[in-house]
Amino acid sequence: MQRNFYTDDFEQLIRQKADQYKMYPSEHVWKGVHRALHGRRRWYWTGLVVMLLGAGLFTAEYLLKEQTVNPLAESIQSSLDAAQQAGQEVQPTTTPQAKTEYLLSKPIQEPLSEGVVDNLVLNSIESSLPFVTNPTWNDFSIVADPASSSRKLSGISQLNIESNSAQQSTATPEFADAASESAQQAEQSVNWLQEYAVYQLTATKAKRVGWMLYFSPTMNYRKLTGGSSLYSPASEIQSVPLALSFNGAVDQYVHHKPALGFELGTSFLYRTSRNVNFKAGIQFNYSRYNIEAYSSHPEKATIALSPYWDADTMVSYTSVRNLGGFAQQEIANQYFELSLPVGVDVRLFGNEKLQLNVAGTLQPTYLLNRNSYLITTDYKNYTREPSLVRRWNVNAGFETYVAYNKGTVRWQLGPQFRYQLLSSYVNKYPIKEYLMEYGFKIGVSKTIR
Amino acid sequence: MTEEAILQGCLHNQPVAQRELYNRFSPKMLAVCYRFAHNREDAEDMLQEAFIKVFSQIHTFQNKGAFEGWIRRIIVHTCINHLKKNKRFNESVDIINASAIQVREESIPSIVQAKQIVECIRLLPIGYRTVLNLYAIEGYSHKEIAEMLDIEESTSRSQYTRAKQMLEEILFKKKIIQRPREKTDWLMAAGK
Repeated sequence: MQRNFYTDDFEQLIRQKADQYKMYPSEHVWKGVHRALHGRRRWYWTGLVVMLLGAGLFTAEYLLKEQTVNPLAESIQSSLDAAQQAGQEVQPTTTPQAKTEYLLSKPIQEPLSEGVVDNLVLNSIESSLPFVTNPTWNDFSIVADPASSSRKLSGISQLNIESNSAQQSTATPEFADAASESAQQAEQSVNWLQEYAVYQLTATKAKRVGWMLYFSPTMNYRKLTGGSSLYSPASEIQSVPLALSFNGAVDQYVHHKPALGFELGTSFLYRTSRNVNFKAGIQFNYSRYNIEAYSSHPEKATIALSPYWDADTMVSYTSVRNLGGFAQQEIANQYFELSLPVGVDVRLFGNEKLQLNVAGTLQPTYLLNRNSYLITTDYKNYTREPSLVRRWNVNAGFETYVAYNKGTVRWQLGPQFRYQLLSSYVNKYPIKEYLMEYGFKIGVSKTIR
Repeated sequence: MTEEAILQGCLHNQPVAQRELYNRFSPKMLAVCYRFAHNREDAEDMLQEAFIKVFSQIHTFQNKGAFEGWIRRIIVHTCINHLKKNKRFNESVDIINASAIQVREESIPSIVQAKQIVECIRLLPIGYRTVLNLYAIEGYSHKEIAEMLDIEESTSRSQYTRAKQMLEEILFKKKIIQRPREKTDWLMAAGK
C-alpha cells in the first residue's frame, strides 16, 4: 500500500517540488509508442496486400495473356511489325487455303538482322540460303502453314519460299536462264530446309523449371511440454531451483485458443522426372494463438531456469496473471517468421490434367519478433523475456493437394500441416512450446524454362 | 477532450485519443523517469516502454482511483525494471556506506527551484536515489520497496536515511534550503 502521509516537512518539500517539474519528450518517443501499438496490424495487412498484388500480377501476366495463337504466325507477325517499324512496307495477304502469306514488296537494301525475322527461322535460313543477304530476297513470299507446322519442324512451321522473280522474269528470254537458275537454287534451298534442316535443328528440351506463388490461411496452435505430468513424475521442470505452486503438466493450467494466421510464399520447382519435383523458395508466416489471462497490479514474475545452465532464475515484473486477477483479458502470442522451405513434391496418381500430389519441406526459419509471452515456471504469470525466445528454428511442412493443369499453368488446392521442430524458447527455459499450423493452401505455378 | 472520452478512445485503440493522453501526461511522467534514470535518453526509453504498457493494458484500469496514479504506478515499475537490467544499479543498491561521494557543485543549474531539487536528487548514488524516489516522492513503503528491489526492508530504511541526509547536505550546500532552527521548520532559501 502506498503511504498517504509524510513523516516530515522535508519529504513534503521534496515531493512538492519534484511533482512540479515537467519535461517534454522528443517526438521519436511518441513515434515509438505509436509504432508498437499499431505496427502489428500493419504487418498483417501488408502481408495480405502483398499476397493479393502478387496473385493479381501473376494472373494478369500469365493467365489473361494466354491465347490460342499459332506461335509461328505470331512470331512472323511480330518480325514483320518490326520490319515495318524499320521503314519497310509489308503487305499481308491471305490465300484461299487459309494460309497466312506475307509479301515484302519493297527491296531490302541491308541484310535482315535476327531481330527482324524470327531468330530460329532466320538462323536456319541464313546458314544455307545465299539470297537472304541478297536484295532479291524481298521478291520471295514467306508462307506459313500452321496445319503442318508441328509435324515438319518441331513446332516451327514449314516455310514455303516461292520465287516470284522467276515467274516475272519468264517474259524476257534473255533472263530465262538466270530465272531458271534462280528458281532451281530456291528449290534446292527449300529441299534443304525440308529434308536436311529438320534433322539438324535440335529438338526443344522439355521445360523443367517452374515458379510458384502460394497463399494459405492457417489455424495456429501450439503444444506445450515440460510441466510435471500427473502420470510421469520425473520432469525437467521439477528440478529447477524454485518450487512449483502447481503440480501437473503445464497444459492443464493454461487456457490457450487457436487463432487465424496466414502463410505466403514463392518457390522455384525443378522437375527431375515425370512424377517428382524438387522445390526451394522463401516464405512468410504470420501465426498466433490467444491466451486467456487476467490483469493484476504489476508483480514479480519468476522464471526458474534449467539447472543445467548457469543462471538459476530470472525475475521480471508483469501485470498479467495466468490464474486469478481482477479482470479477465485476452492476450495473443504472435510470431512473424521468414523461412526458406526446401523439399520434394511427388505425384501420386492422375493424368496430365488432374493429379493428386503429396509434398514435404524442411524450413529453416528466422523469427522476426521476440515479444511473445512466456508463462512463468510457477504457472502464475505471463511475462515477456525476449532473451529466452529462440530466433532461429526449423519447421517441417507436409501437404497433399489436387493439381489442375491448364497449359503451362497449374493450380493447386489442398490441406497442409506445419510443425515447429525446436521449441520456441531457448533450452534453458524448461517449458517447451512447439507451434503447429493447419492450413489450406492455394497455389498457382507456371513452367518458365 | 475529457478524461472519460480519452479513456474510451484508448479502450478502442484510437490513435487520436492515445495521442491526447500521451500529450497530457508525458511531460510529468518523463520527469518521473528522469529522476530514476541515468540520463535523459534513458528516461525517454523508460517513458516509451511505460506508455506502450499503459495503452496495451488500459482495459485493466478500473475507475476506482485516479487515472494519473494508475499511469504513474506503471511508469515507476517500468523504471525499476529498467534499472534492474543495469548491472551498475544492482551493485549500487547494496552500498551501505556512501559517505565519500562528492557533490559536484558545478553540475547544478540554478534556474528553477523544482529543477534544482530534481537535479540535486540525481546527484545521489543510484541506489540511494531510487529508494528516496520511491519512499519520499512516490510514497511506497519500505516493505514494498524491499520487494520491488529484491533487498531487505532494513536495507531500504538505512538507504533512505543516508539518502535523505546526503540530499539535505547537497541542498544546504547549494543554498537551496536553509538549516532549520528547529528540526520541523524547514525554510526555503528563496522563500516558500
